[in-house]
Amino acid sequence: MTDRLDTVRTIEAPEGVELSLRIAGPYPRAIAFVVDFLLQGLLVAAMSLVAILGFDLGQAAVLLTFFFLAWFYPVAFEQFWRGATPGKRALGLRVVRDDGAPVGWRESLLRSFLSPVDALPVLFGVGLCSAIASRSFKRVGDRVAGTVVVYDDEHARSPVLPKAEPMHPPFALTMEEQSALVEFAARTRSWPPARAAEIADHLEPLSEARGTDGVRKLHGMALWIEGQR
Amino acid sequence: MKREPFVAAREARWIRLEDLLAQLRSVRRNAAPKDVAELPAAYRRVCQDLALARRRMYGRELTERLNRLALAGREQLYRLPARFAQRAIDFIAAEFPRKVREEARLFWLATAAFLVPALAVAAIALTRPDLLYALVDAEQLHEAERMYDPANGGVTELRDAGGNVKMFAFYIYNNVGIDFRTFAGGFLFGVGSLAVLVFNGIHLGAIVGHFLHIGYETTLLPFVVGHSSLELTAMLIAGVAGLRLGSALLAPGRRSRGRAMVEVAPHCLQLLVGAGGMTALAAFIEGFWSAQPLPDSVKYAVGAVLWSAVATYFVFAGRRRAA
Repeated sequence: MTDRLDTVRTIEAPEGVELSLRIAGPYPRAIAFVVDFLLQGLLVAAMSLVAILGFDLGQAAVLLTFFFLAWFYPVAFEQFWRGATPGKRALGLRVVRDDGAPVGWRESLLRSFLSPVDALPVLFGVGLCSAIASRSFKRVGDRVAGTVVVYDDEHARSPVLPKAEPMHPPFALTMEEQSALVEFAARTRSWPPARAAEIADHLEPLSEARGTDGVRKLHGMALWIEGQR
Repeated sequence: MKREPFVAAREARWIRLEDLLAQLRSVRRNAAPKDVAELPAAYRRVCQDLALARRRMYGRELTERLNRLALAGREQLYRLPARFAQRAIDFIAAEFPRKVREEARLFWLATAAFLVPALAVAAIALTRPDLLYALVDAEQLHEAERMYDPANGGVTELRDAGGNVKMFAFYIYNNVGIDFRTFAGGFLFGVGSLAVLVFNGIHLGAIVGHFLHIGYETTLLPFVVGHSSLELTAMLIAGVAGLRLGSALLAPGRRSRGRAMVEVAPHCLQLLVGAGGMTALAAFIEGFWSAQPLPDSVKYAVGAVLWSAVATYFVFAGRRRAA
């Protein structure tokens, strides 16, 4: 239902219930990548100090570090740290299977081994195109491995709806309309009031008011829908 | 039922499940808390609660909390059992050679993509040496010449123990990395994998042909005869993994391309992991054995043993316990 309104992916569990996952877009994933990249850079720099100490053995250690960082850094963290590299953890992201189950070795390895394709031709161009062309922002590795990157809801708190006088909508709304109204109310806090009013004006037939009055009435209806009466 | 009594009747149970999940997340695998047996039932009840809360529209705060709880329960319930050692043994003893035999046609295709250019370029190097420089970088060729020059005592003189470790690390970094890239190239409808195989064939053909022509084979061949058995075969298998992925994209059959790819991916990964393991083993041999200052006859004997071992492994291993 909310699929068309938001980047939520609904999965049907064998237990007969639908669970929803919030898909992470390219922007937080890019930041997570940069964080991981810097962290790996620090590790390589530290290893290079070691390399100065022992000549051949040090170089051997640096080469092996390169190898393991390049291919197994994400794999190790995804396996032993609940599906998230430090970068993803910092951004509150997590890799899960398409069905919402935790990623196994298979998925992690496939994601990692396919990253060279995603990195083509420069700056993850293929990966970005693949993500934009996909409803769940899947890079090539995600497509082949059957994984998605989602917000780790363990740490997320649902936004509080703005205070208003709860009020009954003047006519029956469909499920989708109700959920759109609640989403609108939940998000108005992050917008300037003028922008909220501008959007609310489209709903004049519902609120029978314009400007901030309209916004307040819509907030009231959202609260009513959310069960405050 | 109103929302408040619904929550009141279940709150204690949810909190209990939250505690259990927190415990499960913090302990190591295999060491489960004693009331872990409650998990499946508790998870199913939360799923039911969530379905009810959605249906009765008890509001976003409650449904999101239950959704979160159900997802966390699912994560713990469906996490993989850890029987790593047994699976690794099964894989090496039977699964991997079986998988390679399953892809016999692609294996021979990969072999042809590698050997045909190799033989052609070697023939050019022997008959028309001047044409060789149009195909490969002259600087690289001279570099290789310096390394294998019999007048310098060949490869063996250049290495001490530390050098061996360094070269081992380099071969791991470079060669295993190439296996993984060869596979990734398969996503481009197999073209990337084929290109890697062809280029490797050209390169190897050029070196071998050129060295035969200038008479350096006495240093090159004893050096490569051992590890090449594992390294070349592994490269071909990595190519097969990429080609299999590409063929799922080219000819998905009665499935969508995305579906075909997801279904074939685990199979490709097993091929690739096997190839990576073989290449790592080859790197070990190349690092610590191939440059040992031993008589050529010993090198050739060991090489013959390794080549026949690889062939025997892929032809016979895992046939008896047919799954």
